[in-house]
Amino acid sequence: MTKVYKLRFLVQSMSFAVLTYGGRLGLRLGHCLPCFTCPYVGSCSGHCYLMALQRSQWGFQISFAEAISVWGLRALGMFAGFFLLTIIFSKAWCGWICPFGTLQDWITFLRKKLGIRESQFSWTLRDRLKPIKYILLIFLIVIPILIGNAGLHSDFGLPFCQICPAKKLMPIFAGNFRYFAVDISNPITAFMSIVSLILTAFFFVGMFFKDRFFCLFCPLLALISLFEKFGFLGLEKKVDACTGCGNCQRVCPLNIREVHLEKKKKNVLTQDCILCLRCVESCPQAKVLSLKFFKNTIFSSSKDYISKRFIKKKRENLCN
Amino acid sequence: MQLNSAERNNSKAKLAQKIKKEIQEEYHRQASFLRERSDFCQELEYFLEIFSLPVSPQKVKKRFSRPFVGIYCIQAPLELFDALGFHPIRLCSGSLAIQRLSSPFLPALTCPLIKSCVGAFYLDESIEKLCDILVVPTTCDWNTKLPEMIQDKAIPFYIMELPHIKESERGQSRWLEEIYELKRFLEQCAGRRLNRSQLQISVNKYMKAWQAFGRLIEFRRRGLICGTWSIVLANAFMIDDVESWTDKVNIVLKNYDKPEGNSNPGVFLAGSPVFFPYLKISELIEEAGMDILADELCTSERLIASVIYDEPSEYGLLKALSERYHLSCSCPTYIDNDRRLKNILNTMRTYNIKGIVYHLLKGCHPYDLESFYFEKVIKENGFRFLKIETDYSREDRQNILARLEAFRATLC
Ligand code: SF4
Ligand code: SF4
Ligand code: SF4
Repeated sequence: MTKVYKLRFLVQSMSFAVLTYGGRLGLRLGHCLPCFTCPYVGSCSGHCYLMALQRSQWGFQISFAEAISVWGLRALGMFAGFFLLTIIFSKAWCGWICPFGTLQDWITFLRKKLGIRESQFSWTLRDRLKPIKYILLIFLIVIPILIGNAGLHSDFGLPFCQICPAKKLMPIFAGNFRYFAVDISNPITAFMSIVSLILTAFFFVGMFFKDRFFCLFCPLLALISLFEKFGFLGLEKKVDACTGCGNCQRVCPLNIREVHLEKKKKNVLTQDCILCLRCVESCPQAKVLSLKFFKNTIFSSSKDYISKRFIKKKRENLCN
Repeated sequence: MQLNSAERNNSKAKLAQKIKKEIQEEYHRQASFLRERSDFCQELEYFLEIFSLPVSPQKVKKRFSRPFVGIYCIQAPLELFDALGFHPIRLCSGSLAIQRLSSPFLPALTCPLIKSCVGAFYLDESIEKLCDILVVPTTCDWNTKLPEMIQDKAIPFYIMELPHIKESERGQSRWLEEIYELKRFLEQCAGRRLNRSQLQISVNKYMKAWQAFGRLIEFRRRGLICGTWSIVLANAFMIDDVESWTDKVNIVLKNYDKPEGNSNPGVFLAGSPVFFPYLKISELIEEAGMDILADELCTSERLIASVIYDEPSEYGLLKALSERYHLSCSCPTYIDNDRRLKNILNTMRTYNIKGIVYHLLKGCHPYDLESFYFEKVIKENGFRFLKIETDYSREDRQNILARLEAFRATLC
């Protein structure tokens, strides 16, 4: 039996390599990928859709007049590409493909190796964080509209990219530290680059002490979850057989409680879920949680899987 | 005057001796019953031997070399004791004879299990008295009052306050605090700090036990091993060393051949605990021609669950432990009891079990209280329901058997 976490590690590492360095081999995957494959990494093979969304040719930084011309169609086309990719893999983009997500998982791996505990958020705090990603999403749409129509200074362009920690951290993998510099061309750029430095430091520390800390705030996750009900992938639960053991909640990198607490609905794919499948892997009840592709079960929980995944045969393998 | 009290002491001692003998006989009788069954095989002898331990505590001392912790109920984390070098024993008793020692000090309608447990403290030697510490989670009222009832017996008690609402942040974090506090207490007793990798090793040991137990349950659901034996094996887990128990269960499952199959209707056994030598209810169900394909007894299927952790920090491990012994536990004293009922119904549907025998020990309040609601819901879902209210005595056997036989007729 293939172990899902190993497969995921493999897929993540490969996607990381392909998306970060594929450009050097001439790979071009377009500008509408639903993950943080950052265009500022010179060698990347595809671009994060958030950039297109904020831009002038493919996104919202256009005037209303342009919007009903061919530019509007181009933006729509770009969105169509994003939409298609999103419904095919749904949240698996986050759990399995996004290089920035993978980076966070690597950092977490390191923390665990060091035996340092994960920080905990209270349930209330965790719930209060939820809307932030939608607020960011609104800002990154509204600001370009204001630039295009209300004369806002164009140095506010690509507002999210300017403060995105991925823009600073991901280019490091291509040997590029340029974006750590403070741009003092004018007060706006200076302000934005200082804010972004602070945010990057904040998220970097956060990522060390909390699994997928950035994902809690990610506006792309917010955008993907808007279309999640059209997605081909689903996470389903057989509520009557759930014993409420709480394993799923404890192992979830995003501390999602719904999978554990849901008692009526079959669908447990929630807005913050990244389809990492850790909950399915650690649910001890047969077929209570399963990953579905349309109506077909791809992977579901079982005692057997747990035994293979969590019981160590030799003592030496234990002490990590 | 003086002479009188000496005489009294003398006769008291004589009575105690007599009762002790009766208890031994009770255990031996039950073990021989089991040996005589047609489905007995040599591999099972090991487990019957375990039950000779409660009546000869000196053997216990020899067999397990570590200091003992006695635990009432199933919410104290075994792995933690194991990791700190203690041998945890889940204290429970199914002895009728022993109740004569405690009855004078307890209300007439005391839960039989508590009566027997308290009785053990009036023997000159018992497993209970060998324990260095007794850990009591505050589950039902009987258990909560237990430390008070035997406070003059000079064994240190450690009480864990159990939050009765599981699905709230408050409840969960309070229980985690209890686990941390227990850890600190045990560290003091052991004179050393908890070692993270030691705890991981213990968790792994119990995971293997869980795996073996899971296999046993699977055998049982398919009717390959009967309910009574499953319960006896699970009972033994409460006393035995975890690793040898696991090995022996695996051996039994490897070699077990059920004598030619029958097609008895299956039932689900719910309700109050069943512990050796009190196996009346399960034996009678089988005698009446039904198979107990599943149960939810805290001395059987509720006993062992898995500990899944993916945070190897001390906090991560303790959190996993705390949730295993809180969220995963389906004790009826929790207020969020709805999942338990749903799970029972689901098991019955999955394994095509048509009826439920609800076993009730007289004086066991949590099960008594819920039984009316359970009956209603279970019947509404199209299953049969039979409530048997009894105690450890043997007098009502015929009566119960007749009722069970009538119940069987409704299942066919
Ligand atoms: S939520 Fe995380 S994994 Fe998903 S796109 Fe955002 S950063 Fe990437
Ligand atoms: S709910 Fe399950 S699949 Fe979704 S993020 Fe949590 S653990 Fe991963
Ligand atoms: S891990 Fe499975 S059984 Fe446990 S609470 Fe989650 S869904 Fe329920």
